[in-house]
Formats: sequence, C-alpha cells, structure tokens
Amino acid sequence: MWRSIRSISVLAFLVCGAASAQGAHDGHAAPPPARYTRTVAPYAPPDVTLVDAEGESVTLGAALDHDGPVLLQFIFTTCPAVCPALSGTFAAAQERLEDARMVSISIDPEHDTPPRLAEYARRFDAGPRWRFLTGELDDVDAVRKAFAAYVPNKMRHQPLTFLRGSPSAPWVRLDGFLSAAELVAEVRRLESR
Amino acid sequence: MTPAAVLAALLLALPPDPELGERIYRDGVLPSGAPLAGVLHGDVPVSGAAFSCASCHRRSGFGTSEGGAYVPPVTAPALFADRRLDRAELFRELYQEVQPRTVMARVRDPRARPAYDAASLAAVLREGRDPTGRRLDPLMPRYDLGDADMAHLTAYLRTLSAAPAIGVDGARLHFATPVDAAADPEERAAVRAVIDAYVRRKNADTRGQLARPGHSPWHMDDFLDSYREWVHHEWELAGPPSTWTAQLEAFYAERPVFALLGGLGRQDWRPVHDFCERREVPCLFPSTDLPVVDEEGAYALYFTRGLTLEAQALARHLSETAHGRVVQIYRGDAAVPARAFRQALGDAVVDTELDDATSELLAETRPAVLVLWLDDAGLRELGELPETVHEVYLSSSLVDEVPASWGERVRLTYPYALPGQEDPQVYRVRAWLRSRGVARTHERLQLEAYFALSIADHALMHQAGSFSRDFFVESVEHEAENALNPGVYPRLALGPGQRFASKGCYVVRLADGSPGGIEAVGGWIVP
Repeated sequence: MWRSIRSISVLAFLVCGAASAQGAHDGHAAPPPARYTRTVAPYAPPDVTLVDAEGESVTLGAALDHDGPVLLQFIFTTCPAVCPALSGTFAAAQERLEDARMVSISIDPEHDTPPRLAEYARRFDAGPRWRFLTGELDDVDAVRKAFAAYVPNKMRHQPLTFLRGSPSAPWVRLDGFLSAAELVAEVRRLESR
Repeated sequence: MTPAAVLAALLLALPPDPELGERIYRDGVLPSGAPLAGVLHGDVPVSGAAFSCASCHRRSGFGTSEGGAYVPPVTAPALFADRRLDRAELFRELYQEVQPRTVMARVRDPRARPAYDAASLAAVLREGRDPTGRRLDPLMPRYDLGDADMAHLTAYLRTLSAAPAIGVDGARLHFATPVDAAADPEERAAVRAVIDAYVRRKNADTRGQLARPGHSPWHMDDFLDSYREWVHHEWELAGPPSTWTAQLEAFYAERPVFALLGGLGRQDWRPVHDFCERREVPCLFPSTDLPVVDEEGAYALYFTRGLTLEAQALARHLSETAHGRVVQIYRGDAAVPARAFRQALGDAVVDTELDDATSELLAETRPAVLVLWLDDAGLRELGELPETVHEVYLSSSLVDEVPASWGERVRLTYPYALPGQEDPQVYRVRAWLRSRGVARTHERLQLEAYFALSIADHALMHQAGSFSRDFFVESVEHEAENALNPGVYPRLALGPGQRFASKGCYVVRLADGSPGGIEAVGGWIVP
C-alpha cells in the first residue's frame, strides 16, 4: 500500500506542476477559464431497456429518439456534490431549451428506484422534456461504458454532459461543469451546424 | 413595518444559536423556515437541502473528493485556524485511487490562508472570495444569507467537528461487537476468532509503524498520528431485546467506544440501532436478519434489509409469476417479514402464526403456494406438506436443512452471491483466514465480520488521524464500493445517506450438480 501511495504522490506532484502551469485550478485568472472541455465522439448507445421515474419500461433508443437536440447526463440521487451541480444546470437551462430532450440516467440503479428518481426530479423542478431513467445494473453499466463514462466506484464518477444535435449527428462530450448560459450556448452551437 | 420586516428584525435580535445554524448547514433551512438559496456556476439559482452545506461538505464538515470535484473541509479547526500545507491532510485525499488531474492539482495546491472570522466567513459565503482575495470555484454556491442567518451559521461552524471524538485517545481506539446471548455459541466463537486475528494483525502492524520514527526516510512519518492500538470489547446482550437498552448504556458508561463493528443477533436489533443513533456511535454491518428498516438513521449501517428484503423480493417474484392461493406461516420475530410480504403482495395472502390450528387452516385453504418464515425447528413442527402445494418458499437465512421429502417443490429466498459466483476477493480473505489459523466453520458470518473490520480499517486510514465519527461513517459510505467485498453478497455499495449495502435477493431451487446444490430461478431481484 505504501509504495502505491508514494507513486501516487509523485504522480500528483508532477501533474500538479503541469496543471498549475495551465492555470487549471481556481483562484488565479480573471475571467475564469471555461471549466469544461469539449470533444466529439461517435458513441453507439447500446440496445438496452431501462425504466423511467414512472416505472415504465423504455428502450434507450426510444429515450434518445428525438429530432432535435438531446442532452444526457449520468447522476445518482444520493450524490453529494457533482450531480446536484449537473442537474442544477439542466434545471436552470430547461426553459431556454424548448426544442431539446434531456435525459438523466442513474448510475446507482439498485438504490435509485423510480419513486426515488421521481422525488429527485421534483427537487429540480424537472419539466416534461426532462426524463429520468434507472434499470438493471448491467444495462446501466453498458450505457456508461458506451459513453466512456464508467468507473467501478460511483463515488469517483466524473461530471459529464453529452449532447447530440440530431439523430444522425455525432455526440459531443462536455467534461466538467457548465453554467446554464454555457450549456445553452453549446446546444445552440449544435443547431447552427 | 411589514410583518416580514418585523420577523426579520426579531430574528436579528436573537442571539446566535448553533442549533439554528445546524439546520441551515444540514438541511438548508433558514430560521425563518425559508430554504437556503444561492447561485451556482454564476447563473444557476439553487435552494434547499440539495444545496445545503452538508450536501457537499457532509455532516462532519470534512468535505469529500468526489470525482472531478474537490470539496475542502469546513470543520471548526479547518476554518478558524490559519491554513498551512499539511501532508497528512493531503494523504486522505490522495491515497485511495487515481484522482482526476484537476482534483489532484487542487489538493496539492499549497495555498495558505489566514483563519476565518465572522466578516471573512460572510464574505466567502456570499461573494465566494476567501480572506486572501482568491475566488472560490463556481461549484461553491454564492449564498443569499442575511446577517442573522450568518451569525447562526457561524455559531454552528465554530462547533463543527471541534470536540474530540469519544472512544479514542492518543494511543488507543476502542470498539465493541454486540452479541446476542441467544446466538449459537459456536457461531459466536467462529466470529470471535476472526475479530481476534484481525485485531492482532492490525496491532502488530501499528507497532511496526510506530517503531520507525527517526529511522524512516519515507513520508509515512507524517501519518503516524493515524495509528492507534485497537482494543476490542465484546458486549454480550442477555435476555430479551426489551432489556438490551439498559445493558448497552451500562457497557457504554463503563467503556465508551468509538464504534460498534459487526455483531451477532438472532432477535430484534432495534435496541442496538436506537442506541447507536442516540449516542451517535457508528454501528457497522452486524450479522442480523432483523435490522431496523423503517427509519434510516445517521449511524447504523447494514448489509441488507434482512428478512424484510427477502419478503419484498419474494413478493416481487410471485407477482411476476402465475400462482394460485398463497398462504404464509410465521412464528415469533418472523412476523416482521410476514408483514412486509403481506404489504407487498396485498390481500391475496392468507397468513397465520404457526400453532395447533395451522394444519386445519391448510386443509381448509388448500394453498398452491406456501411461504414459511420458519427455522428448522418450525419446519419439523409443521410436518408434511399438503398435497395441494406446488411450491413452498423458505428463507435461506432461517433454514439450514430442507426436509428431504419436499424436494422439487422447494424454493428459497437467497440474498447472497450464488455459489461459484462470489467476488474473487473471497479467495483472498479465505487465504488470509487460513494463514492466521482461523477455521472457516461459519464462513458467511466470518466473512461478514471480516468486512466490518476491514472497511473500518480502510476508512480510518483514509481519515489520516481525523477521528470524527461522522467522518468515519462518510468514509465508509464512500469506500464501500471499492474492492473490499469478501464475497458473501454479489455487490456491496453505499452512497451518502444509504444504509443498506446489498439491495437485492435471488430466489433459488435445489439442484443437484450445481455449485452449492442450488440454482437461481430468474435473476437478481431488487424490490
């Protein structure tokens, strides 16, 4: 164990130096740099059936089948810091994204039953265009893996938002946290293409 | 003056009250009853419990290092003292797993700052600017807090994790294992052998670490304060559970412990649960079929919801399969799963307590499905199955021996990993037990005790000398999903506020030739 601690520490030191050089952490530059990175990737969502907050079965394909923009996040209802921040951005942006469909998939499906998801949705005043999904653990894990969003311990999950402008467009992956204005701008950017 | 202004003036006139501050901190509720409100990411309005201080900084105030987000500690010692670089502090953020680059950078950033006072604390919470003028990450909401609210919150923060933890001093850490005197003496001895072996190994390792200062060129010296000699106590609870509260209080008065680890119960576990919540003692993973499931506390953590889980899973199983009339028979404490089963399946169930009239009831109702919340003695008393019964459901937690003549009609609720499909960690733990000369006579109970000890060990090392009970529970919640599962359950995972680590159950039937002589009927049921 101690050896691995030491190597992690050395790695951390090196990475810290690199990150500092980029001003990646908070507190230095003004205005603050964007706190997310944007990449485009051809993710292939798997053919799985999930369950929504009303307890209805829905295939992932159907949940994502929308002509306009689709926004996807992975969350869980007992998540302390990351998910409220992700869902908070969806909540604040939903009124401004009238043509978009929003989907939040629980990465803790055994705990996040449909009633718990429904309660979480109420907490964020989720409108009718924002759907919450849970399901079998293996199916949810397959979705996470398809979006390169899988880590074994959910407490180490990353803040990610995925966007797709139309059914034939590739997915855009946003790593990090966004303001509502940034999210709306990213969606508009998809539509302008 | 408007009523609101009068209320505001009255609230401002109140002396700072840490209890009102605690409500703001934990629940996101202001003294006026309104939700705490703020702005996240610069333009996302937020309010209420999901954005309370405790949501991110946790009940303990020690913060968290969730993937991609570093949440620093806000305990009284952290806030109201100058911040300096402390390697032991860094250790608990870094040592478990590879962190994202930004989190590593943030944790290693040796930024100093002076201690907060009332004015600088108000400034950081309202404007996100710390005493050195740095802006906090936009992930920290900027809160709309009035002067009176600020005063209450500050009064609370001055107490947060400020008192030394109970049950631990500079040299020793005490913990206890509550044991129901009604438990089988052989089971008790088997579990005790695991605990003794673990504590012996742990203390030998601690002695080794503590003998090195001055000799070690390594950075471990910074973490020596994490080590304590573990002292284990067994608390035997005699008689009916109604008498346990007084016994627990007497044990605790004589020797306050930091936590209860493991436990062996055959009867209602509520007195232990209530003791843990009342005394704010973490109680980790007792082996009990009767945990408290109707209220989730802050300190009692369990493997599963016990027989209640089995009953709910069975109801789900039956509701998805065709069946005729269902009769359930129970005895004693097994009224608990019987009630859960009835609630889940509805009025279709006929149920009765096992007594002289049972055979009459069976003859009259002619059940197709029989659900028996009985142990081996109860099954013997029941005798032969009626001809009408196509399927008889038993609990694998209650039954050791299935009557041979019942054969193919038998199904069992089975909340464990299927034989041959255990987490590979089981092989490691078995080897550990073998190398310490511990005979695996009651493997399931022994592995459960091993898990309670190993996750406590893991969490305490993660805390790096910060012996806070709340932080301990949070560390366990955070780490339960890491590779510690000793194989009894398919998967163990918690999260903030979650109290049951394994959430599902199989229904199995007897199958010669299959590993363990059983095979699953359908999949893992999560009711």
